[in-house]
Amino acid sequence: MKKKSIIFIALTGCFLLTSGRRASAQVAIHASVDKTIVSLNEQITLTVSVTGSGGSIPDPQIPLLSNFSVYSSGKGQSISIINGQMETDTEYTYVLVPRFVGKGTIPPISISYGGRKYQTRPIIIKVSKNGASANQGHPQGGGAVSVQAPPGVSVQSASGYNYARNPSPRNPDVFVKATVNRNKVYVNEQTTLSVKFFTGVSLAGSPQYNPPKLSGFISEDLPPQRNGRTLINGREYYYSEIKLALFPVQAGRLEIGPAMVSCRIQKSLAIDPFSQSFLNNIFSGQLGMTQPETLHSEPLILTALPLPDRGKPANFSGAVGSFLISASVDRTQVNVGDAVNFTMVISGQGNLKSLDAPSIPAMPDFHVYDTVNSLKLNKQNDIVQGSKFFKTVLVPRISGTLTIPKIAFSFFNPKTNSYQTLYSPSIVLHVAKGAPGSGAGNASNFSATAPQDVSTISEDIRYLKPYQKVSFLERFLGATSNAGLINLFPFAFFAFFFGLDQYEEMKARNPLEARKRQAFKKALQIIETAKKEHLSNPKEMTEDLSAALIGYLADKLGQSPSALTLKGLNQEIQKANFRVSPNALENIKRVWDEIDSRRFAPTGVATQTANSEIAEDVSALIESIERELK
Amino acid sequence: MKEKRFPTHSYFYLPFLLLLSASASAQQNLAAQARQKYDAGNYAASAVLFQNAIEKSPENPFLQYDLGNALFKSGKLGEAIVSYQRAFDLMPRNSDIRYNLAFALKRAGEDLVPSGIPPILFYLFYWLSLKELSGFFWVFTWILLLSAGIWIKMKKPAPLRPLLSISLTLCSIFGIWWGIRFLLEPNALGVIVTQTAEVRSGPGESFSVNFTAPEGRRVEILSESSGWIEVGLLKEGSRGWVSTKDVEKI
Repeated sequence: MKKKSIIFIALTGCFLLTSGRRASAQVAIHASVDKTIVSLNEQITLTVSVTGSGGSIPDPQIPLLSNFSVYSSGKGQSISIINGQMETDTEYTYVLVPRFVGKGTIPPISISYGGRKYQTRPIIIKVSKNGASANQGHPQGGGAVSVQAPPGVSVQSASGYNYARNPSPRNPDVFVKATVNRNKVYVNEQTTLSVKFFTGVSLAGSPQYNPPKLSGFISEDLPPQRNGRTLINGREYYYSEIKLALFPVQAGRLEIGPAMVSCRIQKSLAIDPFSQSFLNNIFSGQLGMTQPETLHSEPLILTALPLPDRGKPANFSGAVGSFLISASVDRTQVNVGDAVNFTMVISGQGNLKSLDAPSIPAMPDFHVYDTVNSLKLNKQNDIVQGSKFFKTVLVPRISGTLTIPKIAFSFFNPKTNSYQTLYSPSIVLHVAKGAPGSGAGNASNFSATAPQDVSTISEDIRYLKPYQKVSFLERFLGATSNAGLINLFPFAFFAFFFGLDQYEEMKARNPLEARKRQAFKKALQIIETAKKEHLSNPKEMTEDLSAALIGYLADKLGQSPSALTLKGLNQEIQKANFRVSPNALENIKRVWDEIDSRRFAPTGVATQTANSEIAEDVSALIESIERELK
Repeated sequence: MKEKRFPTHSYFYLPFLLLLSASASAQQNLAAQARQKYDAGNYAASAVLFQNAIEKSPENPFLQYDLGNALFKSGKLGEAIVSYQRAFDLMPRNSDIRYNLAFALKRAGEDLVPSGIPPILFYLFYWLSLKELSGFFWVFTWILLLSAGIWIKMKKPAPLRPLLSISLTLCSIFGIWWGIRFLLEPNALGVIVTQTAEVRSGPGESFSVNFTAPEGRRVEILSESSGWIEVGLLKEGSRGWVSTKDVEKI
């Protein structure tokens, strides 16, 4: 027994010596890609492996890969625990999708540890345009992508013992156990998966851990690795725990596959130093013989609840958790063309990696560049939390007081089972015109001779017009247009003169007829004039009455008044076919005689009354003839 | 020196002149207040003040234009187009009025200049308003007929002939122009002022909805029947009945 102890101590010393050498080894980092020649939009898997001892090796710093779309990483880890000393070999997997055609470089990826910086070599990628293959799908379920599938699904150990499935009844030496803290969550809400590897015996070499296959989840590692000792059914176990935050990406029953640990456990051989085979055993290495074991955890079923449709804001983009939004700019006094860094920060608990940038409303007064985001995660108490920064460069195009409007961000809060919309405060910028040719807005660096094009920033209606009265011309035209019947006046005016002209023309063409037509009117006018002016002058009166009567008859008969005599009247009337009654003819003769007798009578015989009577007689005579002729 | 005296009879007109002057001043004040509200971003209040100013001077195209701006900024596209169209009808050659009407119509999915017609021809054809065309026609008709009457009366003297020729030419041009515009333009125009107007096959809720017309779309008013208006869509050529609350007449 004593000999056995001596050998055991010697072997353990050798083992510890080896472990100590490993612990003092430096950290190594290596990057590789699955292919270096791809077509546009084809995925490249970048694997960064970090090997080192100790549990506090930081994650590698991925440089800005502006030519690639970089999707969330997965992480695989193999752990060796030897006498409490741990050595890890961690593989970080990234999915890159190139956004360029030609040659591009993945710059060195670095890690700082122990005051030293370790970095990988740059990798050259050639991207061709043709033969662009379809995207292999969003690598968001990248946790699953990054996890190596277990080699086979056998849960049998090499010794034929199933440690994982029935660990407790037989109090096995090693087993793996996986649990989740909540088995019913909303889509994109966190649940924490814990995978614990228990060992009650010494291990040879480092156990290899393969994370469970996750389908329908986005996973997030929750370091650090937790180690400790615990008693299970009276047996002391050393355990190592790895935690993952899981965010379901789809609703329904989701399965978390078994986690797998491969290890080699020390065989407990009965060592008899006095046995004949002892030396053979030493030289054949059978004293250090180990037994390989492959352990699996139980698969888990988790229910992902769909997000309610009721009350879902229009701008909701899938964020689940509890968040706050803030916004700031690096300066508020700028010139036209100067760049302003506008930063929106969303902080809180939830799957920040998959958080999309809140949409910035249209800002025609600015040139808005692409938004770049960065993440600051804090996994305190195994809750994924932190801040996501969305930085956008804004370049004012115009001077004046410009406002960056409030930005809306909506998320579903599983604690209150409701959607919430938060707004960042609006930010006012004072933009000065700036010196010509200065500023980022003039980044195109127009040469002195090159004319600058007018660039349309936005389109809007034109501004108000200064108060103006309606012009006189407008009012006049309006009034003329609305004049109604008044507009008939010029027609009447024209018609009158036109008619007059036509009449005169007609008169000129047939003067005899015109005389006939005017005879009556002319005679009456002479009589009226005589009555007014010569009533007291019988001589003149009778002269006028004679002229009226003889003139009337002459006009009607188409004769000259001087040529017409009382004796020749009958003949002329017959000649002119002047149809008057014999009575009228008698009256004509009587009145003519009367007038002649007065014309040639001595002065003073006639009185005013007599003159008036003869005037009336002449009038009545002419009127009766006129009536007869009609 | 003889002192000029204000004619005694002018005192009779003085109150009317003062009244007119006060009215113009009140409009100017209202417009100034409306402009202040507009500049402060209070477009709804600005629209109310412009509306008050227009009630006193409905024939002022610039107030209609300003009201259109305030309504447009208030988000009332349909009502804004009504105002712009009224301003356009009063003064179609004003480039600002034309621009804003075209801008607002574009938002409503319509073009001011119909497709296939060169803009320059359209602008020339609509250089004068119907009222101006009618006014010019009547002015030259007066000149023509009066001068023709005088020419006849004066035994057709030769010096008056150029006046007659010019006035006859202008009278004919404006008369034909006015006549064509009168024939081509819809009898009565309206604009859809609700967000979406349901156009039915008959004047009542019981008739099926044939199609919907967006806010700001100009329609020809064909007939009316107890709370319903038969409209024809100028762009699409479709027709149907809409509720009177959906349409504002120009």
